[in-house]
Amino acid sequence: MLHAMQPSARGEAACRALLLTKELRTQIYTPGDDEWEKRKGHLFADLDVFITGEPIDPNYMFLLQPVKFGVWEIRSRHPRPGLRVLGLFATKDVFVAINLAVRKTLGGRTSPEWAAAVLGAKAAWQQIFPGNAPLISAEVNDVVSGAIDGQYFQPES
Amino acid sequence: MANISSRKARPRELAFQRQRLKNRVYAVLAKFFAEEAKAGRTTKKDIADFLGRDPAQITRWLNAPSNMTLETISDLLLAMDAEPGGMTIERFADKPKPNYAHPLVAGLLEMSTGAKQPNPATSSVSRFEVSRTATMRLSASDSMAWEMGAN
Repeated sequence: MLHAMQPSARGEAACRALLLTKELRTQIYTPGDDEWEKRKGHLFADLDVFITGEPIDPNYMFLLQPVKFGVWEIRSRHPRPGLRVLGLFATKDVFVAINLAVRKTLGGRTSPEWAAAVLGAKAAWQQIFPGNAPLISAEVNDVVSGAIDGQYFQPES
Repeated sequence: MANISSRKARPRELAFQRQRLKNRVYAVLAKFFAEEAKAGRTTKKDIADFLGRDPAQITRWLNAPSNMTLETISDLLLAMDAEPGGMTIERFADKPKPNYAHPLVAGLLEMSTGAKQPNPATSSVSRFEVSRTATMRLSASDSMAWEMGAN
């Protein structure tokens, strides 16, 4: 089951589709203590950037390595702890959000934890959509409208 | 006034609205900078030189909404020979109705509610298909749900 997330902002429409897996939905909608509720307020505002069609830039959305997997992150950097929402595009402007990770637990970009998170997102996609590939492109305008020019992935060295 | 006088703001609501404001201001500024840079009218180095700052500081400012204060925004805009225009404030109740929604979400909304307004309760709809291919369904269980927002 996937859940389409409506904008949290009052009076706004979903100009892009953000779909949550059941697990992710449970994770972010389950009430917590005041600190977590505050952090979720920031996270929901950051997710609203995508949903309400605000301009996207590489500080907000980034294509993870390996590029051929098509796994992107949405960054919710402040306040600490920074959070990352990992997912893949079903089609242009339709993002299927799969994992939520605390940035500091992922370590450096080449860490096993990052690799596991990316692989986990890819595996979850295959489970949800068996036989259907995500939309994979390193050209940001292929996957999302309203993107600001920039470098959206780190070329492999 | 009547809407807020009878209740107390929740922590998540306050945090959400603060971050939303930062994000919206940042989006406008980042977009303007990108356009100016693309047109060859400015660089981070130009801004750093004008403000007497380290270029790395300009990068930090332009990298995340939370790094910006009102003073920072003013300085960055001045360095780009610009200022905000057309600033307005509107009550939530007076906001114009959005004239566009993503077709997938709009379709889900209509299918789940049978009306134009979202239902606060989650409601399932069946067999929603994505436009990329005629056959690609967005759920292995053939069902999706419309979820009301977070606040």
